[in-house]
Amino acid sequence: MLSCQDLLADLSEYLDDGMTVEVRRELEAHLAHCSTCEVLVDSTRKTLKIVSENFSYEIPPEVSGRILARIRTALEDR
Amino acid sequence: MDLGFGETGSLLIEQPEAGIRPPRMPSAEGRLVARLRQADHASFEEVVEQYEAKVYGLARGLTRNDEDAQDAVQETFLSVFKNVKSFKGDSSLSTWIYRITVNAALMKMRRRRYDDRTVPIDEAMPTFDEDGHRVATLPDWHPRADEMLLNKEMGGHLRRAIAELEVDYRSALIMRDQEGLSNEEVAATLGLTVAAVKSRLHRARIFVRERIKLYMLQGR
Repeated sequence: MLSCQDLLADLSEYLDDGMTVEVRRELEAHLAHCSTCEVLVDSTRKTLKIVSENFSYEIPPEVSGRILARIRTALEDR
Repeated sequence: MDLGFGETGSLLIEQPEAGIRPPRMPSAEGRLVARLRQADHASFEEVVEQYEAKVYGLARGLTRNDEDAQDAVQETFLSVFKNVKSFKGDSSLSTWIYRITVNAALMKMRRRRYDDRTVPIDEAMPTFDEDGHRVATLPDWHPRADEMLLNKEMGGHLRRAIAELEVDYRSALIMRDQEGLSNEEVAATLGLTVAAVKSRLHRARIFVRERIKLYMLQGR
């Protein structure tokens, strides 16, 4: 039977669905009886979901315009 | 190779490690590169439009500073413009652009010397007893955690947790989880193996989760 430490070592791969069916089955057998690890997996998944869905920074429109203006100037100076 | 500050001030990420096969350049990208090399004005605008969001997200996440991120974005695209003739197509155009971005952001950080908010990654790693079971002196997660994570203040804590990651780990997390690059793209950009990217990502994710747990439980 896997320990909590074993599960933690595979947590990231588990969240990315990057493991064999056999290893996944072993991890899920551990999760079925370990509420601490179940909370760990669930909370890490939710945290990363928020990062991936809400955390990209929006480039300010004036920055975008300034970059294009600099490139146009550089092209014209060629 | 590790990200870090080169003593000579030279570019910090130069070539992928031996053994990494760069993705084959798609033909549309090949055509775009050919137009860039011919200094076709519209092609530069296309590149800025296509990549500016990810380039900015990456620069902002690494520098943690609006002004530096904006400068790094501008320097990245000017560098693409100036150096596209020397781009050999050994990597994809996107990887090349992201690599320039990371270097530009790292140079900004080096000049400011403000990478002092980081917390050693090992400090946040969970501990286990000799049987491999979790050692937890505090409840492992707040009962209202899901609701709290969506709260604006907790969003600020989450950003803070990411900002506290050491730069090697932060770069992997930002590229992969925030900007949605694949492990292969992150590896090619940082000059690492995919296994090394996965290892950094794994520790970075656990770190962020553990820091958030602390903020929630301490009401910080």
